[in-house]
Amino acid sequence: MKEQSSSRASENPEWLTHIEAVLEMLNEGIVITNEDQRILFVNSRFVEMTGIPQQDMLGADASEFYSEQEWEFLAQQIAVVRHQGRHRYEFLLPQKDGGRLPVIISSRILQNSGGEFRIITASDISEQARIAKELRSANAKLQERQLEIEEDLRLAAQVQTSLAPKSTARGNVTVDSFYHPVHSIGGDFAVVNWHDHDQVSVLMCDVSGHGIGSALVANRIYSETTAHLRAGVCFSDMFGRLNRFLMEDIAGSGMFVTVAAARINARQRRMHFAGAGHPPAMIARGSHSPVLLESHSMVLGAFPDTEGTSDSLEVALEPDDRVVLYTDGITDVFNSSGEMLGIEGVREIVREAASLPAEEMKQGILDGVVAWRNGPPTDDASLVLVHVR
Amino acid sequence: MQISARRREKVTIFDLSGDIDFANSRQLRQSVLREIQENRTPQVVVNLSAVRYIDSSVVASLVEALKASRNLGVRFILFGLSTRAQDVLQLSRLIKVFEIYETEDQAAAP
Repeated sequence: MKEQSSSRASENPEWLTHIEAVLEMLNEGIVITNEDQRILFVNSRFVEMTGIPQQDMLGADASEFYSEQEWEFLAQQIAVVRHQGRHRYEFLLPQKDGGRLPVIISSRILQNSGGEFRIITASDISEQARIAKELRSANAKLQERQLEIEEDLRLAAQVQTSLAPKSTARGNVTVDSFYHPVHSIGGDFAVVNWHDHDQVSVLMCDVSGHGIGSALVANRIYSETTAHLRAGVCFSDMFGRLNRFLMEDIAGSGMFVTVAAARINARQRRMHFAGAGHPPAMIARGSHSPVLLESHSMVLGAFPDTEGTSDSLEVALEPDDRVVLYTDGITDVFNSSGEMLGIEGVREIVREAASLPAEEMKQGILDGVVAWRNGPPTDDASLVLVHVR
Repeated sequence: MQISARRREKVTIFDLSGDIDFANSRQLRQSVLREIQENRTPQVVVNLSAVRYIDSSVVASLVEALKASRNLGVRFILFGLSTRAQDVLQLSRLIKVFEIYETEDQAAAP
């Protein structure tokens, strides 16, 4: 800061004398200069803000209290005030102890018969500046943490992908699958277990909700269901065991699980099916409306005693039958009018897609769902198509 | 989704409107569970007459509320279900588990 001038101001204009008492009462710092930048008045608040004694400022050239760089900036602002009549800007007000006080400067030109005067108001924004700095710091930490979480989710998604069955074929049976979580990971999964070259079990599972919580539950029960399928446990027993597992081992999750399970013997052309609170499986047969296979059991993991755990349905399969299992992410999609596709909508899409070659049917179904849907998916979606030639 | 609560004699009624899904079902779950577990209101009713669609997360919230109510001897009742909402409960085979009525008078009756 330059040395202070020892010169005194010339006599103040009369109008200033009349308002000095009022200016002293203000919470903002007030400085009044003439057109030569001589300081005519500073109130006690401004003295408090700068730490510079009043007598050192009165009559001095305002530029004496700033560095060259600071005065260059202020001169530019003064030019704006002269052009526009008023101006407002942020500034770091130098203090006697070497500090810098963040302020908002509001400056106006006053012209009368006595000449041109500049009235400067300085409002202390140090508290706001401190809070803004803390917010920037907190935001930076949040962004860093967000990046870490996204990386963890990316890795989790890779693991979750392993729960989605690969499309496979053995003998005269082909299994084609699709899985799309609405977030990077979700609560749908499917298991395809080949017992031998002409017997296959397919199980589709949907954990309520979606995201990390559902994915964790899905991972926990994936190995349970796989073990049951490989052991050839009948579906009613499997549902009971899964229900007990969910009620006892994952108690308090607040989630439940729906399941659709099919065991296909391609040589005998027979299928056993059972569902627990799951959307009905469909058998597409030529151009006929697909046959619906309803769930007879309640969702799993809701209550200790699952109602309706009856034996599975037994269905005769004909050549070229196509069995479709899916989750409600396929049915619960809405068009631009807010109408839900629903089970009957999917049924019609499946009927139309059944006219396609088997290897194109899955995509035909998915295209039909996308054509109906308005906007991006809002739930995890899974589909498994089993073709028995 | 909008949720508001009111009293009708000794019954607390939660009026819901709009579409309830995973994004806002947590608010529903917290509000209803608080009424059941903390306030121990003897009869809690959820009015679904202004709700078009519920998904599995909402069903999970209702199931959790039902289980909590059973543990504490509170009656938990639904009324005004749309056809679609009934279909969701029917599909999950939970329709018979809940106490469901068509009108508020039926649901609020002692």
